[in-house]
Amino acid sequence: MSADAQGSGSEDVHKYVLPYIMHNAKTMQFARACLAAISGSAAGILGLKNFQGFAFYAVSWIFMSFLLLAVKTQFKPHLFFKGGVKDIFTEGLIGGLLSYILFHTFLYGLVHLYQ
Amino acid sequence: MILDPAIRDWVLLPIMVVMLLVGIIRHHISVLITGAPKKPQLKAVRESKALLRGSQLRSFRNAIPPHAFESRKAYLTQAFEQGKYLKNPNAPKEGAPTPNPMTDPDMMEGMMEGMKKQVSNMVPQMLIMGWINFFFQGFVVIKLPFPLTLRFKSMLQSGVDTRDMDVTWVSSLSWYFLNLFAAGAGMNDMAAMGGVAGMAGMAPPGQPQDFNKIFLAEKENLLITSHDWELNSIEEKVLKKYGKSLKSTSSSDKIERSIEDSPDKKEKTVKDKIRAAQKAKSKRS
Repeated sequence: MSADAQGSGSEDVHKYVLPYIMHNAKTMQFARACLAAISGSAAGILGLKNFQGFAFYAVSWIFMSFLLLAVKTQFKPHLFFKGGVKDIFTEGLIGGLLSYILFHTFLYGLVHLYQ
Repeated sequence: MILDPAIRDWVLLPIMVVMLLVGIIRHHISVLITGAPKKPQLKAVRESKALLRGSQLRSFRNAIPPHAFESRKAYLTQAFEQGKYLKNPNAPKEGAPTPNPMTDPDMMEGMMEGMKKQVSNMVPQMLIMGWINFFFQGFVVIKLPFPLTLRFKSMLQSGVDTRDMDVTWVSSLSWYFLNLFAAGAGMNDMAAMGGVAGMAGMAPPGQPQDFNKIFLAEKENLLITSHDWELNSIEEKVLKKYGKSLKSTSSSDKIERSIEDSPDKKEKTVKDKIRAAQKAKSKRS
């Protein structure tokens, strides 16, 4: 994520360089996919049930978003994403949830269902 | 209800592993099929770049001095009107029927690309679904760790006809669908990250565009754009940016006027120079 977009004004969209934006989005997507898999596995192994699982997803999502914000963008998200903070906290929420449910179900089944 | 560990070993895991591997194979096959991107025609590139030039002039209009903007505007509107940058300027212009996409080799190529992608998406999914239906029909493989309403019963227990079983139990076919959705959402990205990043810059095959019409519309847009050079009253803007506004309005007015006067004069001289140079050039040629 070394590449960042030129310009700093969040409202002038044409100041962003498209390849950089795409690269940033891709990096974030990769981090998201890994987060969904890992946190889903963790929730499954811990045996979280019912809405605890979703709460765990929400907590890990917020934690991950905060990490991205702090470590990757150094609290300057508008340099990397067109939408700024909103992009970091909302993009890929549903897709990540699907992966999370898959891994949660899978690990939960393996650990707690089959004796 | 307790599930036999054999079901885990011979149904649950195989389905998941097969889905994952097929996803990876599909990605690599699509990379192979796509091959090297076709070299675009010079004229086609010029056509689209001319359009881009117009829109860029519009979006960065305030970053160049007025005379530069005016000359670019005049040139581009003229070029757009005459169809200077059209791929085939001799084609019938108004009222011509849209050309048949089958005749244009470019369009044919684009359609083939789209077809290939769709086929490579569809065929493996059909095969896997047939495979699961054939071997694993009626297996209950896993239980969701969260409750659901009865409405999901038909979705999660397709292939198992039991009325009284809890909704959260998942049949083999539904396990496949769960995998499919999750894979579509995020897993393929993970597989793709390891591979070549060759997916960027693929334009979807669209309808053949009438560039003459687009050019004319762009000309209209150019004609109505107004120009306000950013360097006008730049001193005041800089002062404002750093929180030091001018003290009295009357003095600021005066300063502004003097500022506006001086660059105008300078610009005129620059403009004259350019004009003189152009004249000299035309005389020489």
